[in-house]
Amino acid sequence: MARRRKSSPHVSLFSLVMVGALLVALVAGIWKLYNPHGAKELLPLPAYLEAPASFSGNSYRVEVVVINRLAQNEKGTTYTCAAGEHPLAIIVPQEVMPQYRIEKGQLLYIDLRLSNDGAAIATTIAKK
Amino acid sequence: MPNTSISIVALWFSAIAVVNAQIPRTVLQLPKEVTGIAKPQAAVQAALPEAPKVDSNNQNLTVAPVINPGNTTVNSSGQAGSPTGGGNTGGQGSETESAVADKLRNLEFDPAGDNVIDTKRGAVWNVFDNRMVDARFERYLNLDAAERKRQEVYLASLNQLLQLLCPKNPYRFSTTLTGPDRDSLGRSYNLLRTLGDNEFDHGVSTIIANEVDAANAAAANRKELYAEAEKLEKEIQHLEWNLGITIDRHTSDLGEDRDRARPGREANKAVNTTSASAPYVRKIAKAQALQAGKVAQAEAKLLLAKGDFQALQVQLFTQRRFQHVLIACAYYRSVFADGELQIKTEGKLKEVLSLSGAPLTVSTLESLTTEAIREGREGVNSVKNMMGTKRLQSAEKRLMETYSIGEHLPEMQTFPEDWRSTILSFRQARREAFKAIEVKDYTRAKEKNALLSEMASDYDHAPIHAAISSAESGSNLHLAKARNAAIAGDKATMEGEVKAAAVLWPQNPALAEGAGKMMERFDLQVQSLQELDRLLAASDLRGIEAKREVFSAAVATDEARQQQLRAALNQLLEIEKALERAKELDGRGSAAEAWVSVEGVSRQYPKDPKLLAAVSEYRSRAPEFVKSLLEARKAEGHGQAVCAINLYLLALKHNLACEEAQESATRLAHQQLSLLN
Repeated sequence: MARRRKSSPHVSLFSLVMVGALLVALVAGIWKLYNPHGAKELLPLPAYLEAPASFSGNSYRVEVVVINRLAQNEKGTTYTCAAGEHPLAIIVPQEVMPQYRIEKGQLLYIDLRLSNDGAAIATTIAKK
Repeated sequence: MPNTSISIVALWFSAIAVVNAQIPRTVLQLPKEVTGIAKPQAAVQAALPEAPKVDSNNQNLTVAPVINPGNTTVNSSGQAGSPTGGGNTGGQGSETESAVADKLRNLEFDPAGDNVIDTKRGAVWNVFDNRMVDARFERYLNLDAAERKRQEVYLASLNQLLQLLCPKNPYRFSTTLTGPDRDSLGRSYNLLRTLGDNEFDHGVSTIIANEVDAANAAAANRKELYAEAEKLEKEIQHLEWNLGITIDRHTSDLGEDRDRARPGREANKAVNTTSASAPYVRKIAKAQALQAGKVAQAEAKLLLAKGDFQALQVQLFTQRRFQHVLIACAYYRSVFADGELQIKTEGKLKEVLSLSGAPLTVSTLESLTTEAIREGREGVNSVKNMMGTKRLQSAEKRLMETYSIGEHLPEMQTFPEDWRSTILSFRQARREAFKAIEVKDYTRAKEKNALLSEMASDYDHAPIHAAISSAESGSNLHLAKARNAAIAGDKATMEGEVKAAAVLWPQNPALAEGAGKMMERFDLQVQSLQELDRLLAASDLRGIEAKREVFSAAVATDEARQQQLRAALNQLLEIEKALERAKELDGRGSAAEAWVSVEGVSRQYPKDPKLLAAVSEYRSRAPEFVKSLLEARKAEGHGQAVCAINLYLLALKHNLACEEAQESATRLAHQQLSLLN
């Protein structure tokens, strides 16, 4: 039998670097993808629920599970969501409504804008 | 006292002598020796045509003295020489008979109702049902026993007297026209005088004896007057003889020869005859007139005595002293033994005492008397028979009737005392029974009615029993209506029925008891209504429910309160349903739902303790839910819609079935959406 030629130990360092960079990009992309608003705070739910109006004008993000649809009209839809142990009513304007159908039990990342009276109005919605 | 007795006996025997003396019947019959002189009578009639004419052989005077019971004056036809001596001494008996006749004249009897009608005054009274009759009858029933003992002694003496006067037929009139013999008359007269002093005779026997004496005196006086008339008759006869001689002398032929040739001889003869006979004629006329007067006086006295005696007999009869009537009749026959027994009376008395209009005579009076005595005796016998069979009611009536007829009869006077007491007790019990009916004391009336039925076998208890039953039934019926009205709450009707019951039977024992209870009931009703009002004001539904029956009865006639009561009970029912529903929910493990169930009702009825307790209990078993919901309501109330929505959602989290939370959250969400720009 013929013997194979021995490979060179010179796997390209460049390749490794490239792979690493790709991985990082991937991770970053993924992170960005899934944490596009990594700069917004999480909504402090206990305090918010206690005095929603005191948080008016601020923006927050929440991670919620859709429970049911509470109300709907041409302007938008209000969903009952569960943010941890706390139920939360989130208004989703029509223009913010995603392409996909929001269903019960979905885990969503929502950026919120609190109105003057403290109502949680979604600005972006992303599925997890 | 011997002297008095001797005087009486002497008087009596002299009276007997007078009675038995030959009283000339033909007082005015001319003696035979003068019958040949017929002309003297014609001469007297021619000379004195107005002279009284006296018939012979007859005691009736054509001069006709009129003697009436009410008119005791003896009047002739207005002729001279008619004596009127003793005309005004008619006696009290005649006046009494007149008074009795006058009274009887105005009375009419109605046998249908036993009523007597006074046509003069228009008064009507029942013969057996008036106070006077009752009083006399009860006095008779209450007569003392000791007094009866003494009375029986008197009655025995009276009977003995009757035996002497009517020896063969006691209680019947004598078998002879002239009555008993002289000896019996004498003894009877003595006994009569003795009886007159007896307390039970009341002097009646003395009156009879006095009347006998008066009659005998009148008879004696009559005899004397007739004796004088006889003397006058002899004188008249003598004068007529002398008259005859004188007339003969002047009319004879011995003196005519000497005067034969003288002219006017006949005329002179007549004149001389008249002149010579005139004194004799005058004397004869005078004597005849005197004689007629004495005869008239004699007859008048006798007639007066007869009238008095007859009046006494009639009076005794009307007084129902029948034994004395028989005594008087026997003496009448003896004293006036002239066969003239007709009793003169007038008017109603005559009608009453006469039989079919026949003349009333002594015999008739005796017959009536014995008939009355027989009635009395039979009446008493029938009463005794009735008493033996306890027929008290009939016995009482018969005894009263018999008493009315024969009060003084021995059979009546000796009626047994114990029977009198029994009848008296019966009368009193009956009077009390009717009085009890009158005053509407039906309990007492019933007792007396039962007593009367026990006392008398012929007593009809039905009238009183019917009256009692009717009143009791009526009264009890009114009371029943009153009770119904009380139950229905109609106080006005209740009071009216109670009053009607009291009117019918004032002493109804159920009245006192029932009326009190009914008034208590009304007091209770008033109290119940007041309590109901208080509970309604306090919304104490449980308190109302606890006295549901009482309040229902109390508001029976109050429509408004009925509705209030009904509403309160419905509210309580709602509460109970909610509690029951909550209990079921809690039993299924849903305390939150249970709380919701009762909490909603408790907001309507915040004072119900049971409800509040349930709310509290379920709250403690679902605290998170209750807290969330309450806070959500509070936030919503404050206009904090966002907070409210989230709190409702939190409540839903604890109790997904909470409709309020769901609806409220949805509603608020819609509001939020509508505000979205």
